[in-house]
Amino acid sequence: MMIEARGIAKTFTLHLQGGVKLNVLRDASIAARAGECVAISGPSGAGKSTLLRALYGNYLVDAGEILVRHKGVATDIVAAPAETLLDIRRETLGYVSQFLRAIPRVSALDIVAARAVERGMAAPEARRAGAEILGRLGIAARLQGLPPATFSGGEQQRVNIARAFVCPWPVLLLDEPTASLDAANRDIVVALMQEAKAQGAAIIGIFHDLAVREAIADKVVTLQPVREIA
Amino acid sequence: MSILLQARGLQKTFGRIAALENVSMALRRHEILAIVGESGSGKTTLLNVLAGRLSADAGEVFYDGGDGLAPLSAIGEAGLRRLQRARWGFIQQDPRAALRLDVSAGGNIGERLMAGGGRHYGAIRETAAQWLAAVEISPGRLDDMPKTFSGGMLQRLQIAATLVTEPELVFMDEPTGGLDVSVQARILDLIRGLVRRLGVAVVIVTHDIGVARLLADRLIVMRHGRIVESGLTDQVLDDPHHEYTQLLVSSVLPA
Repeated sequence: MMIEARGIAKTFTLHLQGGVKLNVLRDASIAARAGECVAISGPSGAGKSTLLRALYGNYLVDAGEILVRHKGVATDIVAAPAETLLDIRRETLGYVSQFLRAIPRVSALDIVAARAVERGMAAPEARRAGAEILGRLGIAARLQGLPPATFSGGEQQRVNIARAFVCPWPVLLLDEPTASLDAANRDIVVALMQEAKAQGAAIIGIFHDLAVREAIADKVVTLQPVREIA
Repeated sequence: MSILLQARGLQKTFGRIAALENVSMALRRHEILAIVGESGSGKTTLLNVLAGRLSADAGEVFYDGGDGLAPLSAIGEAGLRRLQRARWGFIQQDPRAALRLDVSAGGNIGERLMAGGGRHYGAIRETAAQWLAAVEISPGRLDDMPKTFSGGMLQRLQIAATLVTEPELVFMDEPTGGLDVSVQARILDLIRGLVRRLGVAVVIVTHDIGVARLLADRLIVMRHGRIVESGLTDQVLDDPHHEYTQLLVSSVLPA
């Protein structure tokens, strides 16, 4: 297994709403091998995004373990210190959020190329790779030099996807990567995911689009809402 | 990465007000750590104690200058001064308080190089010009007095004058605090790029969560002189556990 989560529990305590507790995940498990894509499904409110964020270490879980194979060693990101998790995110664990968090003044190309540089690519090579993947996702060369803050939602999401696919990831987490895309761009993203799988990436994702899910997922894990408010 | 700076059990009171209550933390090499909290939370006091500008009532700050962690108090007054001049930097909210306004821009940058032992006038001038360009000020302004600069330019000049010696550790106190929003983005972007390129470790105090999210690897949330929460920046901001952090995060107006 490249990534394996077992017995995950997550409760949110909303102090500003009188301390109400939301039990979102209980005893959730999911795993993916190299070259395998696992889709998380379930009704709205079942905790799909929560689980995906937990797998990235963005949400702290209350119970369970999340083992990620990092540099050949299965490492529990729940117990790992901050520096280890940052290292895992730099080298092993990629994540595509639903929205791009644009940085003022930084161009689309620089956002994408910076990721490749972080992974050790030389700057000119990173810019070439960035321009290529952005071009493939239909971000024209004249747009690549502009900060994405002014782009449409679909264009921003394509920049976000380009940043994830500019270098290969051993494990890739995707939260609705095709949500704001038209059919042509959706097909390009499906092709990118298939190529990543062929290169041995373990993919876990949320895909509301059934055609996308059927094209890419080898397995489906269905979550049911825990639904109980203490 | 090894620990560069560490605080253990810091205690500081001003009159009857506890500014620091049993504060312990660590900073690793090349790491960017943000300290957030409201006014009066003790964040600036912590920064000043870490930087050796203020002494704690109890507890100790340790620094690893290459031979392992040693308490600042053991380095001595002169040693600390040398450290602050050569290997550390401090960027203040108000650049007017840090810069010498009656000395040219090039002089302000060159001063720190000379304090570090630089003697060759031509080389110092050359380096100063490069650093002006690095902070997006025309090198043609090298001989101009800072009093002719705008607030944003002054802050960029302070950044150049601090980073010119390529310090390994820089403390920042609300570096974008006094600036227009349009100018803030530019300064933040500059800091982000320069700090990553030089591999500087940074402790930055800010009340602006957006600044922390943009710059910091890790985050410390302070309230009433105590650390109430800490962790990876995105984790603390997206999944805040402490009541006060939840309030802080939910109080931000979406852009």
